[in-house]
Amino acid sequence: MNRIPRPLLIQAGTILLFLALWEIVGESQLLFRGIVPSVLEILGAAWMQVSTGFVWPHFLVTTYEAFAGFAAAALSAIPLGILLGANPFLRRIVEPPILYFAATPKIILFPIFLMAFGAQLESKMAMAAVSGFFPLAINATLGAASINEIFLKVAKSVGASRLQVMTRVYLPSMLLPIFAGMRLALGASIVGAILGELKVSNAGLGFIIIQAFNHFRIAEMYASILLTFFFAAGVNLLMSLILGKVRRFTPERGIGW
Amino acid sequence: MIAVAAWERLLAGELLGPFAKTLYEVAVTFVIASLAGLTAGYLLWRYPLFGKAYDDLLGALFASPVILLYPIFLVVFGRDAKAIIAMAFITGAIPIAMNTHQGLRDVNPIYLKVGQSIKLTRRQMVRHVLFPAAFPAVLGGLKLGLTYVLISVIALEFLIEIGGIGTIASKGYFWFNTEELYLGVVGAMLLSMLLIYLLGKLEAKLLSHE
Repeated sequence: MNRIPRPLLIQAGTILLFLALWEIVGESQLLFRGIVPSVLEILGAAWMQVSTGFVWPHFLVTTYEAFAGFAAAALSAIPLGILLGANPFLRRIVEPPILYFAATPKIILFPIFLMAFGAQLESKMAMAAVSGFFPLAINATLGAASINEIFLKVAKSVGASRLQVMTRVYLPSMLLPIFAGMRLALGASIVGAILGELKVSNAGLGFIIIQAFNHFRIAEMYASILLTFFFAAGVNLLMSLILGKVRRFTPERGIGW
Repeated sequence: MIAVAAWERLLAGELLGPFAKTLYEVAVTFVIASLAGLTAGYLLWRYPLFGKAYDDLLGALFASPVILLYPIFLVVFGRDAKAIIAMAFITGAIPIAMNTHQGLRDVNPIYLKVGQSIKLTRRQMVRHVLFPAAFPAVLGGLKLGLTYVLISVIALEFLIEIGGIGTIASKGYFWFNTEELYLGVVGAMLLSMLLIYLLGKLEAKLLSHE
């Protein structure tokens, strides 16, 4: 009879309850009128932003900033991670400050980026790069450090060069931790870029959110936030799918990842 | 130069106010987030059906950029410390609830069976079996929660400029006062690193007593 699993029912019920409460609070005038617009109004505004093409240029700007920053983060964090993972001594020196910096609010660096790179896209790219760097560097270090020693010994005994060891041993056996790190890093890069846009920008998803806020177009603000969440969730889902594929293609490594 | 600026301001008493404000916001938020997170984690464990359902929802929320919701909190609470505390509360309470739930779920069922067989009351069970066994995971959650609270508070102070250490950096930029800007940046970084360092020490100490 009862085919739908009960946790799913509870999840759906909770979301419906939340939406119902939202509508009730909005109708009750408990809060200042307009602060809690009806869900339909928000969805309508979101539809307007998508169908009129208003959101797309901003979407592209944010994507560009986030991915450019993410690429810079990946190109620096992965080699660094391999270097640290392969050198226990270096790791002992460099890893602690990385871990400390990772737990600080990166957005505080944004004014420095603004001064260095200006208020255009570049400062947001720098935000995305710094935000994405730490999760990826931490994961790559862990991955490189836990590499199967036997692979390294085999490579050495067949006379592999340094570069060959890096590309033939480290990279393939680090695919999983690297992709796991990339998933976190890309999410962080997107948030970093958008936070920067919320502060100082003239384009991007963060820009349209804060513009709507400043002009008190509240339904449009919610709509832009909703679209931004969809964007972030979509990227996250995509990365999870890729991670699943990588996991299936990664051979047994003798250690648990 | 920054050190000189910092020293001058410290003497003038201009630095203590913002630091105190940030620490106050972090402390208040962390206390509320801990109470809510621990309670929620316990309830999720106590009612596994809901635990299963809400674990997915919490995980999704945790993975999504919740901090971007801050304009909503500004609209609802006004440009006020309340908005910062409410926003940071969400980012902090989620990892605490998830880790508490996880820690309680991972308690070896044999411990619980032994407890049942010697007829412990529910309260004794929580106090002498569940709590000690789940303690490391709960502590990890609290640490993560405090880190998130700190990051959110400083980020929001920077973004909406209503005082605190994050605001110093923001104002420094807009008034083109480089000294003040770096003072705010370095201050915020040092504050978070110091807090994380102390937290790590505390965790090691608490766990070594186990």
